[in-house]
Amino acid sequence: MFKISLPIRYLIKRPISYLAVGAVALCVFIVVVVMTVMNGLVQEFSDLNHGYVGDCVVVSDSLVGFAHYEKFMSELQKQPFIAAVTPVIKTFGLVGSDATRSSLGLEVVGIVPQMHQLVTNFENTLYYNKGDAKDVFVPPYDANLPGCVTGVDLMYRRMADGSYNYVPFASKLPITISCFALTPRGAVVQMGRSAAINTRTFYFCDTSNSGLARVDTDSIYLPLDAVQQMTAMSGENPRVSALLLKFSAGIKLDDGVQKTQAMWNNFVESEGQSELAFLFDSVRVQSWKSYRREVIAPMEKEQVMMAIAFIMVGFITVFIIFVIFYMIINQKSRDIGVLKSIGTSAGSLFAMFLGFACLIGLAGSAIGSLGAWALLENANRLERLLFDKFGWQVWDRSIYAIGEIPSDINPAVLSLIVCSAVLACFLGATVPVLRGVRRNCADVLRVNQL
Amino acid sequence: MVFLSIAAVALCCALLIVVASMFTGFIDAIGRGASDNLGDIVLEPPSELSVPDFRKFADMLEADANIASATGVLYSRGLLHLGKGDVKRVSIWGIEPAKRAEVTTMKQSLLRQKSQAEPPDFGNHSGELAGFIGIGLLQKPDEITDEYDLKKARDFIGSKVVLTTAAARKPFSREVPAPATYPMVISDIIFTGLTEIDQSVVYMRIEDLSSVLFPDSNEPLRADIIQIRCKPGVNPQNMVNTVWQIWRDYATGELGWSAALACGAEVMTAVQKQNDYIQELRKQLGMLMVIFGVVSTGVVLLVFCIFYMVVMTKMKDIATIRAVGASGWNVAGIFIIYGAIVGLTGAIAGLAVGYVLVVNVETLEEFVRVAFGLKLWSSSIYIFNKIPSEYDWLWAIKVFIAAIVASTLGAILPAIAAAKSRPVRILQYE
Repeated sequence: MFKISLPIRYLIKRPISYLAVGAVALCVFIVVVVMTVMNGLVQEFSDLNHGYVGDCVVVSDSLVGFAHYEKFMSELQKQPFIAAVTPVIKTFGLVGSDATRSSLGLEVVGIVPQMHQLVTNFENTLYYNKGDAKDVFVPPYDANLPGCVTGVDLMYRRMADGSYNYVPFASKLPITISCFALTPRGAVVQMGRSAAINTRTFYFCDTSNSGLARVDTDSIYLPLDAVQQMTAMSGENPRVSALLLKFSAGIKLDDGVQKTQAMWNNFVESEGQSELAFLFDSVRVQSWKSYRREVIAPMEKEQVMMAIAFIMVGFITVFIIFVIFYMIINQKSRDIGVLKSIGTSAGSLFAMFLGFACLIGLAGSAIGSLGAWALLENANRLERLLFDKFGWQVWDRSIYAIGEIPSDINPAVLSLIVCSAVLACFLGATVPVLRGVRRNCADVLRVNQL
Repeated sequence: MVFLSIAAVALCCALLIVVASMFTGFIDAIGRGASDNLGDIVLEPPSELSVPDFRKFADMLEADANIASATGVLYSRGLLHLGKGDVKRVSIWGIEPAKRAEVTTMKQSLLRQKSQAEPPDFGNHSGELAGFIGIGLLQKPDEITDEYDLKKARDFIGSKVVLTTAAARKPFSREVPAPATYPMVISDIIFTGLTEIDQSVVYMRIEDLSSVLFPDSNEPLRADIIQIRCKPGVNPQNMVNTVWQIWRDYATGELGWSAALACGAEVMTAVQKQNDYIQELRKQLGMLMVIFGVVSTGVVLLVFCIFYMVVMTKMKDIATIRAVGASGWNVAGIFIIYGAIVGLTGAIAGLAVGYVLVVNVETLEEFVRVAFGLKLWSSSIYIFNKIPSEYDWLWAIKVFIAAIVASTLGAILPAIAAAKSRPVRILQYE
């Protein structure tokens, strides 16, 4: 019974315990806030990347792409684990309009919108055609003109609060796009004595706000067949840069990727003698995580570095617990002596004090978590208030492509932090408690020691 | 036990100083990178306009006793076909190589010409375009070491690539000119250590780029930006007004522009040009320091606990001191000074540890890479290929003072408890 009642009594009656609880609460509060924000940013960024590419990618390393993709697509579409497939061309183009004096070098993305929206989140990134990308390349002012979609940052300015200065209707803006025409071997197609550069004019239809800064400042979307013609990837054996895949519900990512890889290997084997089969050598099958690793990994790395920094600072909490337990054990040596003299084992005393440490850890974690929850719940409201009153933001939204401050506490992260706090309390308490419970009760209860 | 508080103070100080030094080093590197690549002062004409006959303007600037050199740059964008299936988008900078070498540190970044005595040039390539190409356009840095293969990059010198760019749109015309392609000889490789330049820039003669962008123009050369290097010892900030004055004289006098149009130009130091970004980074640094600072307030609690314990165990000594005539303030002073000394010792240790970590950060990062396979610094993410390793003395002093104040604060309550002790009660026989 004393194993339960004494820790509770110590926690309530000893003011020094409040200090330990306060130290734990402070640490937990800061770690929960920072890790929630960082975790939220990483998660949001990962989700945006997932939405941008789908579940799996069959992609060529070379700009010349690969052929026979239609045949492989039809094989994929027969599979129950595949929900949708879409072909994509990614190349570079020189983009000019009468709004700028000189041209810009951008990533040109050729897509089939009605297929693309089944695999990616493209339809939800649009402004004028939000929710349905089927007619996204049809200009509202003249359905006969060839249309294009630009990254939102190319067309509209991002304001300090993160919104864009959209206008209600897409204006008739001609955009001239030029691409190198490459042979399947990668050489520039020659026209007479000079290299061929294909130029076509498209008309602005919509903008795509994927939430990925590099994509939104750098990309222009065109109909797949138009890009195929401009890059000389059309003809008898049309080529694409990649196939994006969405797996059926319930299919695990790794399983889906493995099945796709196996199908691709069989396809390459069966098509090994076909024309342009050499282009298969540069094709890889990757999950979206692996495909976007280069952009997601740095954020994850920073999250890890921040966690390491907090672990270092967390040692101070261990020190505080150590000192507080040292004091408590010294002050409670009489209790220890009495308990030992009536037959309580050292192990029971050890367990009692560790229970006390656990209580401190739990109480501190509860207070810290509650404080963190209260702050995070109101973080965006608070930031808006600070912005309205003082023009201050956590991140300048005109510089960083970040929306709201993430405020959803991840239960897994919270559990990890609470467990770490309790563990820190155990660590801090162990040495003083061991020292205390090892003392001989006869020594402790001597008159001159009382 | 007191050593524990010294260790805690040292740990917090070291952490705060490492974070502050790295961040400040990064911010300084941005300013330095701007100055190295743009010169000390930059003049940009009003939007959509360029500086006509910029050489005449540069001569006027160079006539000032405090200006060492001035040069113009013409900008365009293009696509570069580097080999089979390898097309990159590029920023094309039309430059005067010899002048640019005076204004910026361009020459030190050229793989072939950096060690030669003569000013850099594009060489004679019998009428063909020649260019300096960023190393990042030719290869990716090694995934593990994040280093470029310089030998392999040098092999590209002399090889031919295909560049495409479009002529500039004529003023008041809505017609967008179609691009044309040009074979180009790689005359040298640029390796500045600044990712943005290394991965996207192609330098060519300003005359060549001008003839591509303005094929029908017979006017003297124009530039989109004027870059200026001040003489050694001259503060660029103090020269901004002088440059502005020379520009106004040139624009209104020589070019016949209205004063209002001339005033549309921007003159600022290269560092000021990065101001928005630098301010944002400073804000992030401040927030990070607040976060770590709040966590570090645990040190105050720790010092409090330790000193409280010391006071409780030394009550008899305190009572004896008071019994022989020391006042409560004298006793409190002992513990407050003790707290300050703990803070001082911890801060000195923390500053020393921080210094060692910051100065050896590259070695440390390499150790982490070899031992754990974790590459912490990547040039493609952090703009530079070198980790900032300058110790930030200003932050070190701030942290030093904060550590002593925090330790002293932690010692105040125990010191008051000691001061209020009653010697008669403590020293009574029972």
